[in-house]
Amino acid sequence: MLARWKEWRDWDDLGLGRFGRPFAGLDELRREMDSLLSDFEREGVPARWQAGLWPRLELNDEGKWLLLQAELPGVTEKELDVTVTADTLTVRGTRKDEVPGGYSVHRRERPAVEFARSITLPCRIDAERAEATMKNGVLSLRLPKAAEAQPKQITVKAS
Amino acid sequence: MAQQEIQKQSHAVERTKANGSTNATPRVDIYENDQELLLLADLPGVDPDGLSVRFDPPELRIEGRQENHAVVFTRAFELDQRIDPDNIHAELKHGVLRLHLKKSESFKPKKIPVKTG
Repeated sequence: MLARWKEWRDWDDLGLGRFGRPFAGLDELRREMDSLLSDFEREGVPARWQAGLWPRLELNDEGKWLLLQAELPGVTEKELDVTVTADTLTVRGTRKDEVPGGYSVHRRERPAVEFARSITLPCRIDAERAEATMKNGVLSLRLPKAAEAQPKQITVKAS
Repeated sequence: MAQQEIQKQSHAVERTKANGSTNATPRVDIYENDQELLLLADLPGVDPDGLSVRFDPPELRIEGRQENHAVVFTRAFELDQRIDPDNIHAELKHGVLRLHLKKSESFKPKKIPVKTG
C-alpha cells in the first residue's frame, strides 16, 4: 500500500535493461522485504511521497526518440510544469488535496503532494522538438534525439 | 468499520511482474458521510473501456487495465451490507476513479422528532 514507488537509483530501474547487474533480483527482494517491514511501522502519509520519488517514471529508447512516461493520477496539465534541456528533464507540479467536505475519513493513501523530479537523459535530445501530452493521468514526453545521437545504419559490404 | 480490505498483505508489494504484464495495487482513499461511501482510486493510464467495477455483496472489486496493457490494477474490499448495489456511480477523470456508493435507505440516519409531553 505505502511502498508503491520504489527507490530508483539506477538506469536499469528506469526501464533501460538490467545488463551488468547480476544481483539485481536480490536488491529487489531486499527492497520488498524492507517495505513489508516498514508497512507495519508506518502510519499516515507515506515517507517516500515526501522524499521526491513521486511520480513513477519510465524511460524508453524508441530509436529516433526517447519516450518518457510519468504516472500523474489526479494532476492536470495546469498543475504541471515540464522543462527540458539538451540532456536533462524536470517534471514538477502539485496534486491538490481532494478530501471532500463533510465526509469522515476511513482510508487515505493518496495525499496531496508537491513533487519535482529531474533526470539526466542517456543521450542529447532536440529540446525544441520535444512534445508532451497528458492523457488519463499519464504524461507522455516524446524527446527526439539530437542528430549526433540518432541511430545509424551501417552497411556491411561483402569482401 | 465501513469497509475491510480483502487479502490484506497483497498491497505491501505494490507491483509484481507476471507473464509480461505488471500487477499493481492502486492507492485508495475511502470517505463516508450520511448518504454514501466515496472511494477514490489512482488508476493512471486507464480509460473507461479498461475499467471494471463489480459489487457482489459484500465484495467490491476494482480492476483497471492500462490502455497499453502494461499494468493491471486490482483491489478488493469487503463492504458492509449498507450499500445499495443498484445505486453505485463511477466516474473516471485524469486517471482517478471516483466511486459513489450510496447507502441503502433503511441505513441512512433519520431524525427522530421529539415531542414535548
